[in-house]
Formats: sequence, C-alpha cells, structure tokens
Amino acid sequence: MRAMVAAAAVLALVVPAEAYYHYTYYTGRSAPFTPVHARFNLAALSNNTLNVFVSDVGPINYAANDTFGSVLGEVKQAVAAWNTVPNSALRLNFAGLESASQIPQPSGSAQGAQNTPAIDVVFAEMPPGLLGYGSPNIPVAPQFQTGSDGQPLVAITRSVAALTNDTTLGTGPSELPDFFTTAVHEIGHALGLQHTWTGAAMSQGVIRNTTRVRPIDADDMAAFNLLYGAANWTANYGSISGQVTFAGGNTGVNLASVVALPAAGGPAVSALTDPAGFYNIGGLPAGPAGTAYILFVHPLPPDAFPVNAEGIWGPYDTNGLRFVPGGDFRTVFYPGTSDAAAATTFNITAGSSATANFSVQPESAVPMYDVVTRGFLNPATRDYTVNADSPYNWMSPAFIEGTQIESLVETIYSPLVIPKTVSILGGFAPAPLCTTDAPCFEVWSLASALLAFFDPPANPGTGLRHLVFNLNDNDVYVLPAGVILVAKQPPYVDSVAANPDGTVTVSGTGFGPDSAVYIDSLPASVTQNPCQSGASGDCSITVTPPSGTSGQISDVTVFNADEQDSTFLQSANLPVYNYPATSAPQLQAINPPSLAAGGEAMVDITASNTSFVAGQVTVGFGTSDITVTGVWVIGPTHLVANVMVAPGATLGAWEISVISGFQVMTQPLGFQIVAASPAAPAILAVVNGVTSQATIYPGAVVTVWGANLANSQIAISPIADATTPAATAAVSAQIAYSSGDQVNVVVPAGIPIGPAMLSLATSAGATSVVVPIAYAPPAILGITEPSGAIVNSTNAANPGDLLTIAVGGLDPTVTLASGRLQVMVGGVSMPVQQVGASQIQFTLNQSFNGTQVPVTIVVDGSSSAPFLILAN
Amino acid sequence: MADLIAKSTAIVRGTVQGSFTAYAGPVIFTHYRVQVSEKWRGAASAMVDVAVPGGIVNGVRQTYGGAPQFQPGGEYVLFLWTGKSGMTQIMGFSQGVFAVVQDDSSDPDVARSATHELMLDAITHNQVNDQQLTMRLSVLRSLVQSALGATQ
Repeated sequence: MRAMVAAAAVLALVVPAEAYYHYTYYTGRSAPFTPVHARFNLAALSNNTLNVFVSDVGPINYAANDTFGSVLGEVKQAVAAWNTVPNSALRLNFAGLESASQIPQPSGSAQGAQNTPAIDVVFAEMPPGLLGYGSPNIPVAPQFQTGSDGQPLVAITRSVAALTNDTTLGTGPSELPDFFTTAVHEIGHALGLQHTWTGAAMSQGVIRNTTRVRPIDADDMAAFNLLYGAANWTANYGSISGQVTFAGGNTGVNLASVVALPAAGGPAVSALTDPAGFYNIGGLPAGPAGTAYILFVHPLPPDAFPVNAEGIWGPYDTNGLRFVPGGDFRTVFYPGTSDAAAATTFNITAGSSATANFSVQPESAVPMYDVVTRGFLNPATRDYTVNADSPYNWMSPAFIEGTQIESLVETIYSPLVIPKTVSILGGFAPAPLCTTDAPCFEVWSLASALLAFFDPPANPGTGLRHLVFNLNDNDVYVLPAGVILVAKQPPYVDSVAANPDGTVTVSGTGFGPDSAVYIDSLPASVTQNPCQSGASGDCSITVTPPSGTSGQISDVTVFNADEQDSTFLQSANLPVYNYPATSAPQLQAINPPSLAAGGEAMVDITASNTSFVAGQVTVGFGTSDITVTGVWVIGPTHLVANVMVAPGATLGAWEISVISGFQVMTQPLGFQIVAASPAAPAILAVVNGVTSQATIYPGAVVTVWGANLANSQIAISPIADATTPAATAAVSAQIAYSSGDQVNVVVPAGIPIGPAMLSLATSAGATSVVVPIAYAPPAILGITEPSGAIVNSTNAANPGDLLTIAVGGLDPTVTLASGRLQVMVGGVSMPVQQVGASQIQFTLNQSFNGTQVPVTIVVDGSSSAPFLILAN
Repeated sequence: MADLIAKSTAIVRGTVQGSFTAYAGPVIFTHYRVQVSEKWRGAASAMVDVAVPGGIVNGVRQTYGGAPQFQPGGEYVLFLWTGKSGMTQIMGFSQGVFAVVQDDSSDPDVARSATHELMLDAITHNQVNDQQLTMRLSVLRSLVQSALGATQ
C-alpha cells in the first residue's frame, strides 16, 4: 500500500544543488557544490533568439523519394520542437541555409567569422547506421560569466549538430521518424543538454521513446528551462530534492540518477546528483489538484562511463579535474523499497517542493540496463497480436492495445538477466516466468530477450507506461515510458488521390479528428477531416500539400495523437503523392540588398514560380549576425521580412535563402552587411507605447526605439501585393513625442489589419520596418449568468459559475485559435470554455471573497479595458 | 556481428601510435594513427588514419557521446569504414572497437561494450540492438573469416 505524502513548501536543511545532465562545472571540490552550466548567454543574442542554420551543402546521397527540402523540413521541425518549451526565455529560430564556406570554426580561422552565437547543422560522412551526433563548443579553460538571468554560466558561443550526409546508409529516407527524433536529440546536445535515462528526447538512443507527436518530453523541458527558463519559471512546476548516500554512512553518491514517475503513467523527470549526493528535480508538471509521483534512484549504466569511448562529460572543477561517479548501488524506490507498490506517493502541485533522501546499498555492478522494448502488429488484421511466431510488424517502443488479453511486450537487453517479475505500472498484474497463462514472460536467449504477456486491468487508460523488472537480491530495474497504451488500431493509408483544386485526399483506416497527414517531412494543412474519434474504420482526410518541386514524389504518412503512425505497418512501402510538373522557383529581387549593422529593417523579397503560404516560409540571411524577427506573406510570390542586424556584425556578403515547403531558393552572397553611417537613423524596436499591450493596432500610440531619430518624419502604409488592388498610399503619422532615441507616433485609425510599413526619414537617411497591425483589443459589453442574470459591480458571481461575456470588436480569427485568448479575473487566468464572435464563456474557478475585481480579455498579449464585477 | 563485418571496408588489428585533432567543417575530429599488425579485411596500409568525432582544437572541446577514444599504445581490433571522402572511421562508434586485453597471451581476450547510440538496420530501417561482447582473439578472427568466406 502506497503511503501518501503531501508535498509542502519546506525549507531544506541544506540547499540542494541543481544537478541535471548538463555540461557542468563546479567552482570547488567540496560541498556545497554550486553548478555552473555551459549554455548560451541570452545577452549575446538579438531578441533572446538563437539562430539554427543548416549548411547549404546537403546530403550527397538520398534514399528513394528523399530530398534536401524534406531533410530541411525535419530540421525545421526539430528546432520548432525545442521552441515549444513553456516558460522559456530563449527562442529558437530556424534560420535557413548558410554557406558551408562561411560556417565559423572557432580556431582563429579568418573564414566566415560570425559574432553572434548560433547552432550549425551540417551533414557529415558517417558510417552505415549512424544518424547523427551533436556537441556544444566548450571552452577547455572555462570562464565563468553572469548571464542575463543573474546566474553564472560558461558561455557556449557556437554548437554543431551533425546529421548523416547519406540517407541510403540505413537511415532514410529522412521522413522516417528516427531521422526526426535524432535531429531533435542532436540539437538538444547543441543547446547544452547531455543524456538522460527517462526515455525522453535526450535519452541515449537505445531507450529513447519519443516520437514525432511527442518530440520532447517533460524531462527535456525541465532540463531546458534550468538553462533558459524565464524568470520564476519554477513557480509553474513542482520540485523534489534531497540527498543520495550510501548506507551506513554519510557518503554522498555522485552522478546517481533520481527519477520522478507519475504514478498513473506519463512522462518521467529526472536529475543527477552532485558530488555530495544532492539532487533537485525541478520542472515537475503538476495538475490543478496536484499530480502523484513516485520516486526512484538508479546508478548510471556502465555505458555512461565507457572505458574506450566518450560517455557523460564531466562534471569538472575549474582546474579541469573530473568528479568521478560515486559507484554502483541497488536501485530503490523511495523510501527504500524494490516494490513499486510500496513506494511513497508525492502529491506535487505547482510551486510546491518536497524532500526525499535515499540511503542505497553498494553493488559491484549494474546488472540490467539499456532495455529496448518492442510491440507487435498483425499486418493482416492490423491488430496488436499476441503471437510472435506468425507474420508480424514491430515497432519500438512497444505499443499495446490496453484492453487486449495477453498483450505482448518484447524486452531486449544484454547481458540477459532473468528477473523475478516484469510489471507495467498502473494496475497491470506482475508477470512471472511462464508456467501457465498470462501474465507471464518467456525467455528468448537467442535474441537476448524476454517475451512478456500482460492481461489488462480495469480501465487501463492510454499513454505512457513504465516497465519494472524485479530482480534477485532486492534489486530492480525501471524503464520509464517503455510501453505506450493505445485504444485503437494504428493509421493505415489505403490510397492517396490528387484533386483538381490542388488538394489531396488521403483515405485509410485508423484515422481520427486528431490525425495529421505528412507529405514527406512536412505536415499538410487539413482542409477537411470528418473522421470520428475512436473509430478504426475507413475514412478520408483532404489536405493541401506544402509547396513542392516539379515532379517531386513524396511519401505520405499519417500520425495520430496517441503516437501511432502509418509507418508501423507501411514503412517498407509508403504510399506516395506525385507533385505536378512546374517551373523551377527562383528569387527575383531583394530590396534593399544591404543593411547597416546595428538596426532592424524591412527587406522586400519577390520570387517566381512560388506559392508562398503564411507560416510555411523561412527566410535566412546566412549569418547569425542577422536575425529574422518576422516574415509576412504578401502574395504567392511576394514576402516582406523584418531583420535585426547585430551592432557588432561582421561586414560582408552572405547567402540569402528562402524555403517554402520543399522549395529551396538561394542567392549566394546575395545580401551585404555594411558599416553604419554615424548619423543615419536606425530603428531598434517598434512597440506599443503602453508597455502592458503586446500588439499594435489602429489608434494606438507606438514607440519607435532607435538612434539618430530626432526630427524624424514617419509614414505608415499598408503593404499589399502588386497584384492586389489595395490602398497602399503612405499616411503620415502624427508624432506625439520625439527625441534622439525615441519617437512616439499614433497609428492611423483607418489603417487596415495586416502588415504595414513604417517608414522613418531624417535629413541623414531613411529606414523602414514592418509593423503588424492587429485588431484593437475587444470591448466587454456585459457579463451574464446562464440564467440570464446580469453580473456587474453590484450583482455578484459565485465560484464555479459559468459566465458569458458579451464582447464587441473581437478579432474573428481568434475563434479558430482560442489559445490566443485569455480571460483574466482579478489578474488570475480563468478556464475559457467557448469563444464565439460575440460571446466568450468561462468558468469562475476561484473565490474572491465578495470583492470587486476587474475582468479583462487578453488577445495576443493585449488587454481589453477592465469590466468590474462583484465576485464571491 | 555479421552486419558489422559485412559493412566494414577494412578490419584490422593494430596499435595506436599517436593522434592529432583537426576540423572538418565545424566538426572537430581526432585522428588516430594506428600501426596495423593484422589485416582481416580490406587493403589497409601498414599505418591507417582513423578519424573519430570529438576532441580539442585551439582551446575548444567538442564531445560526442559514444564516440570511441584510444590511448597511445593501446591495441585494438577495429572495424573500419572508409567513405567517398577517403576518411576512415569506426563502424558504429564503440560497436566497431574490440580492445585487446594485454595479458601476454598469444591468444588474448578482446572485449567490446555495447553502443548506446541509435543504430539502424540498412534494409529494414529498424533499430539494431547491440550487445556487450568478450571473446578470444582467435574466436573473433575466425568469426570474421567465416563471415567473409560466406559472403565471397
């Protein structure tokens, strides 16, 4: 029976050190240990944005149907995956191509000097089977700095992620899931993360269990935020800290891995101990009512410290001396049991912390590690089968249908240790060695594997589940996320049909409203999806493919939110879509073709034979000294972009690239950075003059920050494609305030919604930037109860009430993306139930004790005027 | 093992004489000079240059998990692969490295740890599960010769 422990905000007797799996230094060799991690210094970046470039020399050899455009799509999405980490202060930007001859080598080489930190993705010759590797450039003699967050760091100035340059050598085509998950992993190394053992993206390859649907996991996010989290990011998560010591003394265990597992299934989060054995697992996701976790500590496997290979790097002291691992020990659940069912459960809420100290028994070696799991599908019935002797398809990690009798999970590892039982946490009965029927496991020595059969518990649920192997001598091995429970068959594509309007209809089974259709490496925009949740029968989804090249033959795959995908059954014979014959896309004009260092400006780009789609186009300028801060599609062949040129940018010519879907257009040395004229105006930022409003809208006062701005003339005009008969006349903007570094102007009231050009001129020069004109914040017209009763400053609402806001002037596109909208009551975000053009429903989910509180609607970071209500 | 042998362009027993580091693009490689004492496959010369990603150049270190490291004087059986660029690398990182245990025996043990990096099968694209191996040098030599005989 598990004991329940409520996590309280406790003050530990000692301050536990953060000790995740980063590239870590300690300032001294005695406790308390203060870790200093190698990471990018946000103060060295433009807009806290880290550019990720890809070498313009792509793979030299492609698997069937593979293309450079598809490879770039994978890298772009891998970058996007790391950009989704909540509460991060760092933004990542897929920055297009850079000339291979201009990729900097931090060795004093004169070629291609770039002064702003960045990540370079290159394609390297690798032996068959190897997909990639990545590393930050770490200074051998570390210099400790203070980051923009006030914390110490060793600055990473450049990192490299290398991917195979031949996708025929056991790795491709690139759209198969492993290429993508490898790209995510190697970029993680480039960001400053080492390996973990939770199955997350940064887990070593054999136990990595992430997918395209779940490219990074809670463990990756926690590690990332420890390096790059915004101020107070920890307030949104729980934490568990403590010390791991050897039994019979107070000797702390260095580099022990402490793992928090959601008791009901879900992603694990871990941390490594410091040289004194202290750990702190931060970044624990917590539901509103708390999330139950159990905790275990395990020694790192021997291949974390291989004799003849690189393993975990460091940690080191400032003299370059390494802190050696503390030694092997038996894995235990807290408070010291090998029985997961007897483990203490910690109820973790946001902002809470708990303490758990482990005492562990030394052991001569780690008996079991690096377990690969596989699940099996019957290709005829498309069901998860129990007979491994009949024809089957397999996938790793193991997927099983949770309600199936005798679900089969194969576990492969070496050396093959025979456990007493194998269990799936979450209600499954433990499986002993088979003597009768399931649950039980068979030993397959030839394959160094166990075949474990499980019967379902009542209501098994879906999602990640953890495997536990109970060994002899009270030892235990835990494999987080070793099994994924699903409730339906995987998707299977029967046919792909091109429609006259350019859309494509994908028909098959196992689809649902959550299904995503991928054309090679890129998701296609869904235009129609009538498929029902939970159904496995025939269904069709119509999509608009990303822009492709003439005659491109692209593989079509379907991914479901439950992480199943159509490669489970079709990886050897993926259905394809044939792009029609078209003329080759080309860049036509770049205006201006050069910019001065130290400012933000607009660049206008036109092309031919393209079909630009908003959100699907990348513009790159080939050097990390230029950061693209925004791209707007004006027409099928017309773009505008805002670019920030760093003040210390290296002058010279750089490669321009535009990537639209799978179309790749470049202009080598097509853009120049020139020296700034001392008197010329330079814009550094354009923001709403009301600092709490994040958007710019008609009638707003905006502040232009920059240099040499005195006596400016400013005009604001809509940007429209040459083929669009829209009004583009410049409108002089009323200047409310002007100084050398700041101009306040009023956005004309009648300006259309969409990108506009703000042109600024002085007697010493002119410059312009794109200003996205958004809808003004909506107005709250009234608030009512479901009964129709009015709620206002005198008529009270009660906790739990479902309230309806009558709203005016709401951006109509918000109804399609309700995540852009928040309802705030007294400064607290309330759960939004429904967003309509003129009504918003939300639940008042807390008490305000009979006080008057303001209600506001926040859209894209800009707030409506407050509406006062009385809230009990 | 059969796949490892089949895909290697050279298999040699040799002793590491020294090393140097250099960039290839932005990637640092450590180049090990290996004096070859036995050639089991391929036309390796008496001295081969084996490039392994990672190392230190001009005060900058790159470290790649799983990339093998060799000590000067260390003796190994190496499964090598030379690509179109002419650079020779180890098959499968540590997967292609058998350390010869120095025990003064004429038939010493050779040992290899399993790789923990993701390796894929060229035909099926499925993940390859690797195993830790220890055996006599003569057994490994026979395994290689037998596998090569079967494919020739």
